[in-house]
Amino acid sequence: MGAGPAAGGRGARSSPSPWAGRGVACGGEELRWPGPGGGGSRLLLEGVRVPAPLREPARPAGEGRAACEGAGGPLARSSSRFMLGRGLKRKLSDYEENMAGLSSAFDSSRNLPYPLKRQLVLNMCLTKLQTYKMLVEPNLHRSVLIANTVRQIQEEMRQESSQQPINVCNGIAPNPPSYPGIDSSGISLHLPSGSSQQESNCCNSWSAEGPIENSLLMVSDDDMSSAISSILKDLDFMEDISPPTSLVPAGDDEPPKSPENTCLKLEDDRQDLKGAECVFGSFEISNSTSYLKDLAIDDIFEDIDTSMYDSDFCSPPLMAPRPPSAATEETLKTFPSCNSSSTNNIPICRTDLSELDHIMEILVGS
Amino acid sequence: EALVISTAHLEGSEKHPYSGQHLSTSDIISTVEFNHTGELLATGDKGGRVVIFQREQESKNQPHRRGEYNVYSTFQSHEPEFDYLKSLEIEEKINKIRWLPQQNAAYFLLSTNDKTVKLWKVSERDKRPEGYNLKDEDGRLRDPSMITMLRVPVLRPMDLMVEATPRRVFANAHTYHINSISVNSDYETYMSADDLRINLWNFEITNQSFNIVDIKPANMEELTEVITAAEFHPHHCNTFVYSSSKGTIRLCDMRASALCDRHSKFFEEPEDPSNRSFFSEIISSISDVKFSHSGRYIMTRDYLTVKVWDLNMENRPIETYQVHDYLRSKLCSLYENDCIFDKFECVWNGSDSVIMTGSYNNFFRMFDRNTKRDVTLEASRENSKPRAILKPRKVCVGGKRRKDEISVDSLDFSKKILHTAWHPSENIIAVAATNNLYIFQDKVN
Repeated sequence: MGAGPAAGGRGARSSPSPWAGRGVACGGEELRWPGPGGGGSRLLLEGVRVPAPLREPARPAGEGRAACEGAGGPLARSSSRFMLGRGLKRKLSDYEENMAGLSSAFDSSRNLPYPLKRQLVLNMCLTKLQTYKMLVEPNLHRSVLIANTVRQIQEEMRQESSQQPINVCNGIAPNPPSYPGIDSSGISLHLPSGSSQQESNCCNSWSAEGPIENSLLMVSDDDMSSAISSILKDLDFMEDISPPTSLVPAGDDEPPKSPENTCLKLEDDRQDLKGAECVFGSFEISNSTSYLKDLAIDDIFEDIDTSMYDSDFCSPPLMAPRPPSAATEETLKTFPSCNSSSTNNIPICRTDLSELDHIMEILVGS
Repeated sequence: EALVISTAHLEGSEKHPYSGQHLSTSDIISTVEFNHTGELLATGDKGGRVVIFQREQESKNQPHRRGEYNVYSTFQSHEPEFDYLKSLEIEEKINKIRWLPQQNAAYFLLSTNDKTVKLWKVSERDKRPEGYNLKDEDGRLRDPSMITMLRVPVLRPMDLMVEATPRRVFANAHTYHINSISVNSDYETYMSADDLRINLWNFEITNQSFNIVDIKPANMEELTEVITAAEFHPHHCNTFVYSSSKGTIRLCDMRASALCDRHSKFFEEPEDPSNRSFFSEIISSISDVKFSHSGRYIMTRDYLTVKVWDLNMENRPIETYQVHDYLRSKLCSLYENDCIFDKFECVWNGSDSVIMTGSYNNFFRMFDRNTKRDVTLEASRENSKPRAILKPRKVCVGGKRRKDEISVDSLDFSKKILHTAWHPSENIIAVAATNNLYIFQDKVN
């Protein structure tokens, strides 16, 4: 290897050194963080609607790059670093604002019911994982941390449901297990007897109304586990051990399946995953099954209002991408309200309606 | 793009005990490291460049410019690469720089990006040979028939030139991203750690490395923990530690087995149930681990705290310092914007009595382990103006905000200090704030 570029601050040979003694910081500008609020990032103040929530732009740079598909030469540098590929950038900025509002509400509000907080966190985790999925090289450290958080929440939900007696439809609601940060008095309700169902729902977001729902719940857990599994398998970068077997799907650069494909059946996915473990494990992310397709969120949350997932929060690759203009309408739908149909089982307590209104206002950004 | 560095000076005086330098570069600084004598300070940036500063000898002409750091050498250490097999771009950002102790006139350092470690030799040249026989002064070959006599070339002084040459390239040993490198106290070997594996290298051998830690499970779906940092013991060349994303530290002895998958010691603090939240695991992930100079303690940094551990006590740290506990109630927002994943480093001072780490809003914190006092300082251009004071800052948590205090909601989370360094023997600190480097010297009269 030849001599590296000779450079020095002192005694450089012919050309004057470009750096010593210059008083002007040329090009050394501070990073500007784009955002609706303009200069700087600010935390949401409690109870105050602020248009510029605490935020940073989604930062795939350093955490993964969108490789130019089919590019043979060196990638364009700075301009490509902040793109997530496939033109999703604008979508995410809409989403970011909504999520920022929710997360600030999470932080500032003490009376948010625990199951709702948990659902919020779960949503954020799943959305993040989905975002990472779209990157060519997701950050392993972050993905593991987020997957662990999802598992932890899932485990908690599973324990809750196992503590719940099956015949909840009798209206007998056991005392909720104490969760940290829960103000149990906020959950107890004085409602007409017809709403005791609602009360138990508050305490247990997965509250089963019968054995059928219970079995659905069990399926959901497995699906979530396999979803997490598939994420982690995707993160198993190709290692130069042994070449893949004949189960090789076409090409390493095969783009992720288009949103028009319907979700794979859960059973098929599970078999696929188990049967081709080692092989899939050695593949790149781009040609393995999307965890969201495995998840088939529609199926899992059948008994729960899935409009939260229908929004821009996590549309591809499950659904066709919605135009940004529909985002505001979606956000109205994302937040379940008490007067929606009885099929909605998102746990809400009527006494927290004002909280929800407050949050909705943030979401809508009016 | 050319790297541009501009400097500003802060003159210290009796009233204002700190003197400082502020250097602004055109790229984000990603690592800062003093060498073993403190004479040199190296920075790596996102563009793959390394800039080395050298401390000026104190001169009687300018006593107030006490030992300032000036640019000594700049070179491009790593270039962006494209892995065609995996269709991935490999960033040229310098993740870590570690110096080797000086053994001759030249300086050696290791610099690494996500995949490749390089050994660089930085040497000075102030003489050059003149009077070659076969070529003239321009380097052109002479016509042999024109040579009628022989002479011995002589070395003549020339303007000082600092050269950086890559001496070794240690590549293709890491599937995942390298987060740490550490030079062993035997000065013959070093280790490089990525998310799942740690490799041991000999400086002389670039086509082989020993894998000494491998936590990759047979099934990736069982993966729940990654390696976040690793370091060799400063004196015992067989001992090293590595930290994990679950907030644990493992101390390993390479004499026990070739593959150190079984630790000799396991450091973990039981979780405080009152502080439990959805984000407990994420904020427990250790972002940096450093041995004390004495080798008796290790310091770890997680998202909200710095902890000091005694090597002889595994079940809990002996000291815990809150860096910015006011962020505990903002974790969801910080999770949403990914700030919760920021990896702050931590450093010891030369005597292991003070520890320092960075925070947001260009704040950095120092904790005196003996007096238990702590201070929050800010690295900003205001501090670099002449006669400016490096005054302590305070974050107001709630209630009334006093003058000069800053409220939590006004903190700028895009201004984070992740990388700091402390001179090995003196009170000189280097603080990297995005693309600005601040060097503060404590004027002890």
